[in-house]
Amino acid sequence: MNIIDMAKVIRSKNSGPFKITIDVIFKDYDMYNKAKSSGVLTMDLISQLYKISNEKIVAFEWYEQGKALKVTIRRNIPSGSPGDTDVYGCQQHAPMLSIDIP
Amino acid sequence: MKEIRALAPTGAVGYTPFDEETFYAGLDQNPDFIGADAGSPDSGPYYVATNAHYGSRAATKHDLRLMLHGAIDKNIPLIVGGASGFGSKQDVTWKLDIINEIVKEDNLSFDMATVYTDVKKEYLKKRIKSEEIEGLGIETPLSEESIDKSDAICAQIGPEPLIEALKTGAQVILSGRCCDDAIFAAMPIYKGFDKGLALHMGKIIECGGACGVPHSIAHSMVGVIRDDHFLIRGASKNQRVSVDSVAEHTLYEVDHPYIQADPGGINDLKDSVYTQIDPSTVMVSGSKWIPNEYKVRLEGAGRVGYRTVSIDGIRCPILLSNLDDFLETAKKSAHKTYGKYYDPSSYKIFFHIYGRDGVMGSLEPLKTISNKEVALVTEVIADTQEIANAICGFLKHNMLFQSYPGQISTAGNLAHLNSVEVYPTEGSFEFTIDHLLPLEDPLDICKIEYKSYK
Repeated sequence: MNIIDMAKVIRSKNSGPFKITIDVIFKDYDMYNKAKSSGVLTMDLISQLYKISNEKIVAFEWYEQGKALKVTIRRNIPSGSPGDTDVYGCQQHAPMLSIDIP
Repeated sequence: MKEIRALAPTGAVGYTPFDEETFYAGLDQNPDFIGADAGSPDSGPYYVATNAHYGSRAATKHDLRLMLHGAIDKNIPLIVGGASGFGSKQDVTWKLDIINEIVKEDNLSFDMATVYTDVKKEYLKKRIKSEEIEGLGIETPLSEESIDKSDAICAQIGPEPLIEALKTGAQVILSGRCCDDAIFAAMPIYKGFDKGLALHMGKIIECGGACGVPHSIAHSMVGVIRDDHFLIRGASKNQRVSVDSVAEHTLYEVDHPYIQADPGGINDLKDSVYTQIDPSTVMVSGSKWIPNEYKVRLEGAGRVGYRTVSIDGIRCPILLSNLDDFLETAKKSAHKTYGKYYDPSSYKIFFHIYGRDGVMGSLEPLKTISNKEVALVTEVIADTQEIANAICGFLKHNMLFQSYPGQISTAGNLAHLNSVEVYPTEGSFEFTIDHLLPLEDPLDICKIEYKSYK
């Protein structure tokens, strides 16, 4: 199943100017548990999708009450610094949409 | 039952005039205070470094006026944090001017406290001589260079200075840069309620109706804190608040879903329980405050240089298949032509290719141009506006007739948007400081001024 069919929110946003935080909020506990137990969603997967090293991943947490997975990564360029292309960091979620969970 | 009710009319004062219907509905719930957050560095270093305002004066005056009247009519405190930008002295003064106008026009009287949270460069330079100030968002310790590069520096204060102002008898408190949750946690903590619950409640309602369904930042939200839980409740019965919308909001714009740092400790929300009470009300319990060393977050930004941009369209598929080399050649031409006038280290050239990786830049996994056209944004950041204009202009004019392998279209490479112009912008800025400053006393880093309007 593609993650878009399992989640009601998949978003990215700055967490402070130096990091981007990605939230995947699942539709219900059924989907949340399925995703969590599938073993597909890992730090290595994030590393591959965004082509960044694991050291750049500062948080990778499941939040039961929110039915969510949160991943926070260090920006390559801080918000607003020369070369930055997304001040709010809100359009960096697209690689997450290709995830399939069996 | 012992409780304190908080009314949050908007998530951002002056962003847009806040909704009056839900505001008056919120006042009907007899709040014990009104709180509103007004600033953040979210919109980038430009706003922080130049004290630019995100909202409008008209909307800010509307919001302040209604909140002041609401607070005076109910004889309750009003706490406004940040200004419609960063929250530095310039920002606070701008807001104070508006308050002075309202006081005069509406003949209001109240006691007021203004909390300034600007941090002086000399103070920080003195501190780094004898101690290492660790970075928070920035990975290296605070340096003299970073301090010098900053045009504005503030401490993001916690609830303590606001509590001090309440203790001293101020009814209206205007604060510079502060933690958004502190605005709503101050009174509950002052009155002896649990700090973890107070801060968690503050974190949720500081965005006004954004934690409800639908998300609407300029609508009111009510928070009610009790001994072992708090409620998030729509100001009017028509507003919906769900367990999902509240838990979702707890995740918003933070590093970690349940460990949230504040000055003096962390709030552990791992065991928080969210319960739907009715369609407009969610109950939250279980938030745990764990104190540690008192450190306040320092934030600063400064100008990097001057900036000029150009926007041009490219439709020729042959040029598009040669784009990287084409742009590399353009850069080299600029260095060659202007080498005798401007040192190459005095400017930097950025090309943004919308249609390929303009949005994600180096994070983009799909690096092919699959569209028929691209928007090429040329950006030059330089030591002076003259250099930025000259280099950007040169690139634009030169790329128009620059040749490339396989070229068939020889009358012009770029579709100029409307006019053959380059656009100087406000400038290029960067965040220079994002560090943690230890304090012996939370009040050490701010200045509180009291005034009575009669």
